[in-house]
Amino acid sequence: MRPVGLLLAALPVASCTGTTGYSLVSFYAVAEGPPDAQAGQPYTFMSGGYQVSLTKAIIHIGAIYLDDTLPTSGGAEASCTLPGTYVGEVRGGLDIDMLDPRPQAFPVAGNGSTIPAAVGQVWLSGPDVNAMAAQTDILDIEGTATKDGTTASFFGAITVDQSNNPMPTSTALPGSNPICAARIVTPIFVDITLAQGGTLVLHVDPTSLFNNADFSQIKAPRNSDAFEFTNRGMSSPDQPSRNLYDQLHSNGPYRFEWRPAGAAAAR
Amino acid sequence: MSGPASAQGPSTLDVRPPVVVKHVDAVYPPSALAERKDADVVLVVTVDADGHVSKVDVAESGAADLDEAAIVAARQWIFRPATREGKPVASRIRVSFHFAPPAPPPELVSPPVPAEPEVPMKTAVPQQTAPPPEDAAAHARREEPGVVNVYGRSVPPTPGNSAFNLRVGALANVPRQNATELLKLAPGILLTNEGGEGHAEQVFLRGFDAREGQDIEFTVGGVPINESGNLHGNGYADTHFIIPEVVESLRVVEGPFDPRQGNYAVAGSANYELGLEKRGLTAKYTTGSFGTQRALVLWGPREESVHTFGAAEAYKTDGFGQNRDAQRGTAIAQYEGQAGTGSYRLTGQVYATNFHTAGVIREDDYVHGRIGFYDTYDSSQGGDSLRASIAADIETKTGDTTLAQQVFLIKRTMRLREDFTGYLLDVQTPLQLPHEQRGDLIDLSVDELTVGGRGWARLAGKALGQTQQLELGYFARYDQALGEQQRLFPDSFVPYHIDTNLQSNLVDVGLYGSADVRPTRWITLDGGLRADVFSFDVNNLCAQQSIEKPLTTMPPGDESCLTQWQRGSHREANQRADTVSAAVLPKGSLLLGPFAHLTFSASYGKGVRSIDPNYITQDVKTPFASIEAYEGGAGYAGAVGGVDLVARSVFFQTHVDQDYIFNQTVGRNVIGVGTTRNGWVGAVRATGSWFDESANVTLVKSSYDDTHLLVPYIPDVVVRSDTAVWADSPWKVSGEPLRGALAAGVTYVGRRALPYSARSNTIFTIDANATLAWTHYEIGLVVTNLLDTKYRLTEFNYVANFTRSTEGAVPPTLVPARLFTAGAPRGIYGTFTINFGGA
Repeated sequence: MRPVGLLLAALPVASCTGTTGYSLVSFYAVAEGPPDAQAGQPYTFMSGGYQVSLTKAIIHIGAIYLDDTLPTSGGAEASCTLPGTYVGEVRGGLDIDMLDPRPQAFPVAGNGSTIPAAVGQVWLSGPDVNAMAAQTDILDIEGTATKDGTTASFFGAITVDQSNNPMPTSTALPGSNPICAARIVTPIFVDITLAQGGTLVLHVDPTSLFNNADFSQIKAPRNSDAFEFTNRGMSSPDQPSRNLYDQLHSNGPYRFEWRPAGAAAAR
Repeated sequence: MSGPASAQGPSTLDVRPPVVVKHVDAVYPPSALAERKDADVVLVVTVDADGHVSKVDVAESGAADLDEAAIVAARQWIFRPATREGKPVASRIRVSFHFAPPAPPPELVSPPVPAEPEVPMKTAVPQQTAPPPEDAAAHARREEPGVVNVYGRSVPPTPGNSAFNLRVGALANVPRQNATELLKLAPGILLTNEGGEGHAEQVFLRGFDAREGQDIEFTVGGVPINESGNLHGNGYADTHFIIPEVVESLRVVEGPFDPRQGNYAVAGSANYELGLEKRGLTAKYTTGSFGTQRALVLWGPREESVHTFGAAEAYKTDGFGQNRDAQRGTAIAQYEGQAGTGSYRLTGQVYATNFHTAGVIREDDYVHGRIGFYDTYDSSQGGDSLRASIAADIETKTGDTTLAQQVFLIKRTMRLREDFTGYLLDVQTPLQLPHEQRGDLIDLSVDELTVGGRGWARLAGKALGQTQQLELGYFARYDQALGEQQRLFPDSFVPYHIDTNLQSNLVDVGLYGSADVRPTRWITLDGGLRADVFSFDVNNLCAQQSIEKPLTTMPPGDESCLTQWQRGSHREANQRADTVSAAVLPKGSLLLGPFAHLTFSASYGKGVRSIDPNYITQDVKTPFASIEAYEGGAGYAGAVGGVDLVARSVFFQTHVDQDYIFNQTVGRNVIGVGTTRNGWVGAVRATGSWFDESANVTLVKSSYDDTHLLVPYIPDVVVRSDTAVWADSPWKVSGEPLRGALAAGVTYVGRRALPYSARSNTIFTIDANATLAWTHYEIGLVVTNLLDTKYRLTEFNYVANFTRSTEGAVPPTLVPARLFTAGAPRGIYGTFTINFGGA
């Protein structure tokens, strides 16, 4: 009996007890427009004293990533890779109707771990974030801006490529402004812990695209009915175009939300 | 496998001479009749540990033809071999043969008388047996056997129930790809290999991921195998240069309880002793699955000891699946000669190999059919390896003191190309010119020279009515190591970045004192103190790799090893660091044997593992990891119903203050936090007249000290069984029997903990071998992975992205996922062996 007792005493020592910590998970990923929008209807809001009515706002998101470490301010320029550990990813592109409040599913499930996420990334790119040429339009907008009875129509298709990516500021740092940095919006601050079967929601807010926009400059040229946003990034000649490009790359239009498995969609 | 140390074991002065089991009388040679020679011939006969005569020398000649007749007879004698401490050892005895001619025929005189009956020819009678009958024509001279000199190397005392002296014996028939697999005869060993046939095995023992040997002190005949300063892992141990057929025995000490154990003995130590029992010339050819061919030649001169041999091997294989081909050539030779009352050995070996490896693949790519189970992402992976060494040692015994001394010289080079992460790590930095992902193919090369020696003196004496022993010893080695790691473009092998470039001069000097004290017949205290001094002198030739504020007029661009300090000030690319530190390591065991055949033991030991030169900074105080271990257990050794039975049960705990953890982004081990292992080992070996069975089970839990989370990749449960049976068939060919033998090795590994709370798949494999032997010939059929199990040899959870961005239809994957290396499918091989001139 004694040898058996020794063996039985040994069994709890090992054999499949314990954990290495955290776990790998897969989850759903969707994008949603403003909750007060109505699908198929223009979305109207006030910005800079103007009543802006968007009839079209399609944004292409190439990928979503979550990371566990906040980037340090003043850190190394233009690193497309976040410090720390990536804890979530959705690697499928989606054209998101920013005017539709309904969940629009990304074409692939997300994968990640249960390490808490502190920061998110949104990739405004096609499949290859390093491609010099644009692989797809990133933003496609149409709408009107009205003030004091005067309405100006506008439209624009924005891409992100080498032509609208500024050159490095220092010859000693030739790699300081890679094209990938121009396509990645980060940091988007989050406080999310992923779990199996839950849903990661990317809220896109079209109103933020027009923060600080000078609508007084949105005027149709003589030979056109509508103002076209210039697709030259921060080298665009007019403030609204530069502002649109800048806001597209800020974390303003983007917010992440986590819905555990079984939770109803928030409205 | 010999039994555990017994407090009731025989004293070290217990030496028994050989005993004749079968003798053959010498025949008086006809050539001597003419001269009617009457003489004595005295021979010195060397008897091997298996009781056969291996060498005969003439000590006193009677005449050439008489000498020859005596030698012919003596060679046919069979002995029960001499023993020392109960273990068979070689020995030399003096045997005297007296030759007397037969009585002459009577002269013919008249009248003729009937001829007297012919007296039968006298045969010379060896003096080792009963005295010959008196012969009126001879002057018989009887001589008592001379001094019996018992040879064979002294075996150190056994520290507790976790020391295994493994005689391979019949279990050599169990299929083994290489000498490392012989370790499986010891409990708890799991071997994996994600690096290809020329890459060292990854060894798991007692809850340690000993990586490629970094936590096990490997030696062959006392010559170190661990490579200090190897950039892939300090202590890397590649045993592929050892031809398994010349491994006579293996001494595995699990745990750091023996003062003789030095650097790298964290999980334990393993020493291969080489020898070739089958004498004569043996040629073996193997061919079979995956285009495998192996030619082996073994030479053991009959008149020399089993430790004198030569062996050469040529091997090639296409490997299973993709990118697993390999070729190697190996030669090893050893000579053992007598030195007074002791022996000396000279050993030399040369080994070279070239190989490819498939590396890891992602589980999701396999599941979705994007890659096959046995495929590879990167066919650039592989390497080559070379090792050459010479060693000389001598062991002599004078009175109660045994002295030993060894010197060795080792030259070693290695190149490894491995890709663990695909296209992930080559991120754009501001300093660099814009570039795409150039790939993570690591090219690591090492060039090492090792010279060193060891020696000890062991004194045995009587006190308190028991045999007591005291041993003092030393170990010293100097290593000069060059290590460089670069990253290559995958298609052209052109290096684009230097990760590391080190020149290291390393010294390890160890001194130890050990005592084996027996206050009573059934109590033994074995242990002592060891001190190791480690000296590091490391020149980092690529010390500066990034600059926060580079000079705009002198941008460093894509240079890996920079000569620019902060804000543009000049510096040289290199930086040197040196340090010396010492570790004092007490070790001891208490063995209690109040009952026959049963031994209880408790052991404590401190061990040490020097750290990677990459981590050496100027004057760092502790350039080593410290290990503390405890164990307690029981062992049985005896005969049950005609079967020799050895069994043991051991509980253990081991703590390491700086453990090594594999980091796939740098492709080698990195220092982590402290870890603790708790476990149990059970082992049994039963040997009968027609079978040999060795089985063992290990249960272990390995966890980090700070979080108490499990250490990943360590198997919780390992079960191993080696079985051999043999018998003579009832049929004979030309009067000689056919002997058949079957052998099988079974391995079960439980689900290993993986990062992110995952568990691996189990492993269950059976390897089998069947042979049929007749006189000098033997044919065999070997089947590995008999059940053709599709199993994952290693499994990981980490971040890897094998899709090149230029090919990609999807963005990169940056989160951990499951990866694995495939175990080999079923392999079938035929072997043909012929032996010339054996006993």
